[in-house]
Amino acid sequence: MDLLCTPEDEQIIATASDFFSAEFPLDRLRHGRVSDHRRNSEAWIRALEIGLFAGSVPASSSDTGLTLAQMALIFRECGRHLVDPAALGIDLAAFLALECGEFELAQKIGMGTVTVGLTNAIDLAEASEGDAPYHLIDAEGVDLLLVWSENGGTLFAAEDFFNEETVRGLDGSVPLARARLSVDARPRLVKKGPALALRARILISAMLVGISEATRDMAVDYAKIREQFGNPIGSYQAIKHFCADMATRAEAAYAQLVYSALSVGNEDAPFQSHSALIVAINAAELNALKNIQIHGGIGFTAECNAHLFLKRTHLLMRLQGGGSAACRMLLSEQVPMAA
Amino acid sequence: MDIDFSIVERQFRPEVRDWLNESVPRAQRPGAGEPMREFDTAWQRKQFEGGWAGISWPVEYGGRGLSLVQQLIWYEEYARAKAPVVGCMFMALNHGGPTVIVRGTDEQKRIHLPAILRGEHVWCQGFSEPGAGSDLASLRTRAEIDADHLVVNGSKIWTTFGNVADYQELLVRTDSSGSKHQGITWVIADMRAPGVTVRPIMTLSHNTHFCEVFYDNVRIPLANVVGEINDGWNVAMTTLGFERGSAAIAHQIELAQTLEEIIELAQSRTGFNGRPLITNDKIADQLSTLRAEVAAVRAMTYLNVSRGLHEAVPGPQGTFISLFHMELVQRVHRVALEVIGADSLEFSDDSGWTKPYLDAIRYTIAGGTSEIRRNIIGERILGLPRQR
Repeated sequence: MDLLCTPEDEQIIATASDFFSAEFPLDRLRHGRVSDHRRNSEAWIRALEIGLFAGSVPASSSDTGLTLAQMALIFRECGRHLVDPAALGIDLAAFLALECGEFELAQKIGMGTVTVGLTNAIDLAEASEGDAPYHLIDAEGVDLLLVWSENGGTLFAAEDFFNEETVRGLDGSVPLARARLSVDARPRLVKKGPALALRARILISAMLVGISEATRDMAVDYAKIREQFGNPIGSYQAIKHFCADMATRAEAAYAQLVYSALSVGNEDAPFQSHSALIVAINAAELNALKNIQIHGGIGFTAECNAHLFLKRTHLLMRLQGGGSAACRMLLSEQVPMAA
Repeated sequence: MDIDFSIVERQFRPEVRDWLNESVPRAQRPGAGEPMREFDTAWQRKQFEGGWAGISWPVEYGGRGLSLVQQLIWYEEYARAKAPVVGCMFMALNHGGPTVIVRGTDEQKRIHLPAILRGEHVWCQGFSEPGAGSDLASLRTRAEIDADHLVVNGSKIWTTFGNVADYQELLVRTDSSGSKHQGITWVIADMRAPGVTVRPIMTLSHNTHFCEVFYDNVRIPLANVVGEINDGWNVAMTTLGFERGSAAIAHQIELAQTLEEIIELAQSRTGFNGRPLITNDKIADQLSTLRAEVAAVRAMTYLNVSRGLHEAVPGPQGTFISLFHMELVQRVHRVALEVIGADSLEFSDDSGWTKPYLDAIRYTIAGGTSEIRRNIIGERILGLPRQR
């Protein structure tokens, strides 16, 4: 039992962190511009070349690829740098393809020669009958769209969605559209079972943990240099205690993320992953809000990057139905015995 | 990164479980006074006789000297077996004893350590004073050297189990000329020495474990000083980190058990609309969020124990766990009152949810307030400036 990162894990974190710092600077999203780091940008192609988003796809039959815990470390960095959610689509769709034994498709998804967008059901009740309404997320011009629920995952061809209408997003840095999925649509690939939702929950939690840590760091850095009443505001307990709470929430969310990623394969994996998502949602949302608060007036402007984290948090939490859905699912789980 | 236990650890668990299942006392633990002391010390003696005392103490002082992960397993099984709280043995086992192990003389070790493990010596703490709480270093209880004794005058407060203790870890001021952190001495006081008066204080949860202690020309042999005269602040700050918070896992599992009891209550009790309380969205959200947080505090402890496997000296990260854990305990007990509804109006010393709710209020005050913990996180972990 050892939850600390191995030197190999640290290397993975450093690779991702260095790459994103250089190629995906936060300022690219200034003023809520839709990210110009789209799928045909140089940075995105380089990220695909070094295999950042498809690390779990084996390079050959003798290779095992990265573990889910290691992918969670990469997606935590994605969260910190607000890397496009399309990255999540790559991992999940490649996972789905591998689960279906479609190794070549998984590799193409990993290399970006087949592109994947994300969806989430707008109205679950309506989704069960007739043409279902969806939000298409980060899905401009993609080949495939990933639809998933607790019961499994499906890849549809983009053409299976109709009445597509581009809409303005809460998170303006990610393209958003409304569309309906035809009841007659024939899935490109289907895999039943809870594995995909479990993986999605852990990787979404990882991105939210990254957001909770990035906002903690941004707030602490600002509290050290911003002076009022003749002192850095971080010397005042009102601000210092906000920062301490941000750090505590981030620590709790990170610890539970690691534990849940390592528990996959064990009986309590669903319990641990629902718990991870709940604490990660709370940590990311509260930290993103406190970061804005600590920045004061400038924090409320589009000049400051603080708002980007809050908006991305809402987008990510909504991918699996939000906090209430996560709470409902955790309550229905069996509680693991003490070890 | 892994959460799997080694073969040795996996074999250790059933050994612990079997012994605890056979040995855990089944009688109700008395809530106060001598009967409580008798119960707590008898349970400690039983653990000693079974070879399980001092699980995290080094072997040379009579402990088991087990690995951090084995300690974690011991405490997990301890909670799972619903073994009694450590009770009035807490200060001897978790604070006084470990301090004597690190800083005590051979004679102090010989007198106190075996007696603690056998459950013969109950200890209490004499740190806080009416004028020295969060600002502990401003303490003023005075000790003057008279030949080979210290002569102590003053008073201490919030001394839990002071009314049943044999010994006290006592901080006294032996020099007022320098800074407030200098001139403090850490000494072992005999609670039955002439001039010691103990006055129990009734808490808001109707406990009387909490005491005020007065010292009127109390003579304490200089041989009882632990560390050097005037070096007591450093002795008090001695890193007491043998167990890296692994003991807290027992409380966290108890908390999980408590929360599951509350969830079962919410499933069986009905609200005003005649439907089970668990169908109330607000209560369901609260219970579920608490479940996630109780899972997370355990993962935090695993993470901190993992740090202990790699670092010799514990860092300040343990403060994250204590801050989060203590506030979480309060939230769990608060939602219990919501679930039992009007039954929360009734108070009982040994059953129900009202007393635990009231008692949990102390967790964000005792042993360092939440505010002091936030200062530690802000200054020592995040590097924010101290207030001038």
